[in-house]
Amino acid sequence: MHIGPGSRVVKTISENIGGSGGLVRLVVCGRHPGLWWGSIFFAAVNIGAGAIESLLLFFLQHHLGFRGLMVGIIYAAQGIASVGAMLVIPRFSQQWPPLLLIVSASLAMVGGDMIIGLGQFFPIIIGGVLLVQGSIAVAVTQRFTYRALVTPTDLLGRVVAATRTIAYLPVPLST
Amino acid sequence: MVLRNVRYLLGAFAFSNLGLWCFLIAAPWTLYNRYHSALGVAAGYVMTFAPQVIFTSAGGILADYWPWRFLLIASDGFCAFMLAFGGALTIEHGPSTVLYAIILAIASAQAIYHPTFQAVLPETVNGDPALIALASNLMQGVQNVIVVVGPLLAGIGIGTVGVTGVFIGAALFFLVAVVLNLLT
Repeated sequence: MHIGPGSRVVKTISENIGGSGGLVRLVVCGRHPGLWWGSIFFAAVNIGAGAIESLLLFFLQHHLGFRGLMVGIIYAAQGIASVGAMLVIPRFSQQWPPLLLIVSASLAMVGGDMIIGLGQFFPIIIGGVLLVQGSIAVAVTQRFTYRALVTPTDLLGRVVAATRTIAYLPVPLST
Repeated sequence: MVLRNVRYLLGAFAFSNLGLWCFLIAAPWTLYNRYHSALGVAAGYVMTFAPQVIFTSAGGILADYWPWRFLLIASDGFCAFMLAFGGALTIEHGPSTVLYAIILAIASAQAIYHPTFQAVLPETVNGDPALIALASNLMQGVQNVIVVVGPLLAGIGIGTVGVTGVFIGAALFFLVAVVLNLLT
């Protein structure tokens, strides 16, 4: 497991500003590049994921004309991809640092979305869905790990809350 | 001891999420059957997501200053009570405002539960980086499995025992989570 220099940065910030209330939360997230850009990044991912998730059924049924069983299989594939990703993540996380895995998984996510958007055939759509959902699982797990590694325990609740709020803010908009 | 605690904590997380997913399927189902309108269902979704954005910051502060076990037990216990209350009194024929209030209350409790749970995992494994990675992976794995199993179970439950039964079942799942949190 690789650990970035972030934990020292967050600790220093928390020591300098005292450590109470929402100010800490905002300052820590704002001044820690990994946490801050990670939250913005996941907000962007959620915009895309929310839009795709809310339009997927419409796309599959009205645009591609898939029947109920095919749609059900595609949705089930999402779950299978997530569980499958869980099996390979420990191996990945031993070899690569969390941030590299997050960026790689996100690029794979973009590729998967393009496959879904451009693919017209059932097996290709399944492949795209597997790629997107597996990548999301890898990225989210690495985000949790990275955040826990770089944040001191006494600040973790607030940092989790702040990063979670930033990341989830655009979901209603995108949906 | 560390792995035992992680097991109990993740077990509680699994049951809590199972209860939540049963609720997340049963509540819009009830709203749709009551109103047959997109607006009525959408209002339920808004009440599910809005507290996550509004109250999560407060949840984070609580997670840092209050005992995590108390917060997890209180959150799960509150959800169990609200679901049992909702299942018994409101789902079939009660006023819709009560159902919306239950949705809002459970979503608000989740805004406290999730920052607390995610903050407590590293503490449970004593900050060991390898164990943090393992615990994060297991947490995500549990969540992924529940995302598949939860809606499936809710769907089967609605078909066999009805929406009220699913609400009561979800309340029981939350109660199991409370017990497992007590054992952690």
